[in-house]
Amino acid sequence: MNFKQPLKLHYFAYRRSYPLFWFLTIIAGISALYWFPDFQDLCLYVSVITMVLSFIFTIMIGIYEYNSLFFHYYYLKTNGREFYYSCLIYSVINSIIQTLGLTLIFGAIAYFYPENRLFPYWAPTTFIFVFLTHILLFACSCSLTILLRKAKHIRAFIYLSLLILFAIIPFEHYLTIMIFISNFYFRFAFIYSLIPITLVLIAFVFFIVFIEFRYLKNEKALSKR
Amino acid sequence: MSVLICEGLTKASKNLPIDKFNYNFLNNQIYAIVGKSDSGRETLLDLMAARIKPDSGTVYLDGEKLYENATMSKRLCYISKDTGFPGHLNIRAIFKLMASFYPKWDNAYAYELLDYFHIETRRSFSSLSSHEKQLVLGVLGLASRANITIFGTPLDDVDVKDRFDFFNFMYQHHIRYPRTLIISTDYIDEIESIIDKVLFLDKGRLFESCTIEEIKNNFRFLSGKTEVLKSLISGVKVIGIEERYNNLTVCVAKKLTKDEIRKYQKYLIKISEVPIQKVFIFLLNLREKKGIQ
Repeated sequence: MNFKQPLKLHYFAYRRSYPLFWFLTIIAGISALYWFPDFQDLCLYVSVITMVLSFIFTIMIGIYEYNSLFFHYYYLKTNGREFYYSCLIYSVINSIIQTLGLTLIFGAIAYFYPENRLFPYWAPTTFIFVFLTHILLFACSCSLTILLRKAKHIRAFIYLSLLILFAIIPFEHYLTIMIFISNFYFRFAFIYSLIPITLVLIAFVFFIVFIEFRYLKNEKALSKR
Repeated sequence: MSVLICEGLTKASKNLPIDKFNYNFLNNQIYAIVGKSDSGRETLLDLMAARIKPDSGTVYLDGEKLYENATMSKRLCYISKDTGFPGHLNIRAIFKLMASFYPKWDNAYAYELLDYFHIETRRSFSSLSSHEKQLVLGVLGLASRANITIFGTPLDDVDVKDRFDFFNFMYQHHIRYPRTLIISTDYIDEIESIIDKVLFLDKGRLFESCTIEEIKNNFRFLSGKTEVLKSLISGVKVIGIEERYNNLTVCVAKKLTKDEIRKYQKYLIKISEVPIQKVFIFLLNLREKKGIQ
């Protein structure tokens, strides 16, 4: 099976998105220095917000994957299975890139502010969990995208509801959420116990994607018209 | 060098079904598929390119089943209306992508054609107008140099001049690198000089397939004064009639003998070739009159 071709499509499709995302994130992080005089709090905000943003970025890529990229590939090369397997490989590549990006941010914070103890910057569990969460989120967004492919209005409603939900939550609640997230990452034993569960979940969701994908492939060309 | 064999292809669909399509697309020939919009042409092309799975029947490429066959799929390039790329990709990136998809990809030729059509390769795919997009897709199909290249109504939005030039390039490229080209088109008369065989499709069924030579030889237009022509064609199999004022044009489905030609000329009846598009329309009308489903 030739994974090189669909992976190349992934490369061309996303090659500018990552530098753009990380550039904007870093700029946003640096510019936040002007708004937050408390450096310790800022470090926590930057860490958690960057992480959440990278998760959202992964979800968006997962949505784009089966909303658009698959069709671009399938209308050129009719061997869809290659795309599915390349999608699996790409989910790992995406997680590696995102984890490396976060490592860079965490490393910078830990370097400039070593006495900061609000977030476990160098704990292996942090990186393992971030890595696995990215793969899981990617798989889930792929699966949901295929599932909701025909229900365009429902999809728009879900996106809109999520946006409204984020907008109406008061800022204090966000602080609570951030502190909760930071505390969660200190629960090393719990995170270790979550790893096998997450792995099983990833395998399960990708299996669902595979089943959905088979249906999508067979009915796709006619239903698009 | 490749041969595409369609064996009993059937696909049920609400509007565009295909019913038991059998045909062998031979090596190094140019085929045109002509049909109405509800003839199932696009479904047929999707089936031939293994883009969709048939309900029954099989497509073989060089003796191997094509559906879900990664090795064989690189020998076939199918450019349809739906073919597209992520909008932010520029044409250069698209060319690089195509080069990895098709082993015989002709990069220099692709650049040469785009230069001819004044399309800059730095531009992103989304910034192209529909006219330019179709030209780019057409160029991709040609430059892929795949053994079997299928074009699904490739240049609908392209102006007549660029279309003429494109088909001219297609012919020259086919002479240089012979391969099988299958073109589904509404502009059959514009490409009749480059195609070898034409397939007429109606309601998912192949009802006629013939070479251009056969059409040229077996169908003739006779035109002249209505009263004169009407008296001359009694007993002749006429498949189409066009009457404008006092002038009648009929399409006869037979090879005219020397005696017949002499007879018609004697009564000042003009004999001419029938454009393929007209043959298709007349045959289709005939089928409708006979109630053939």
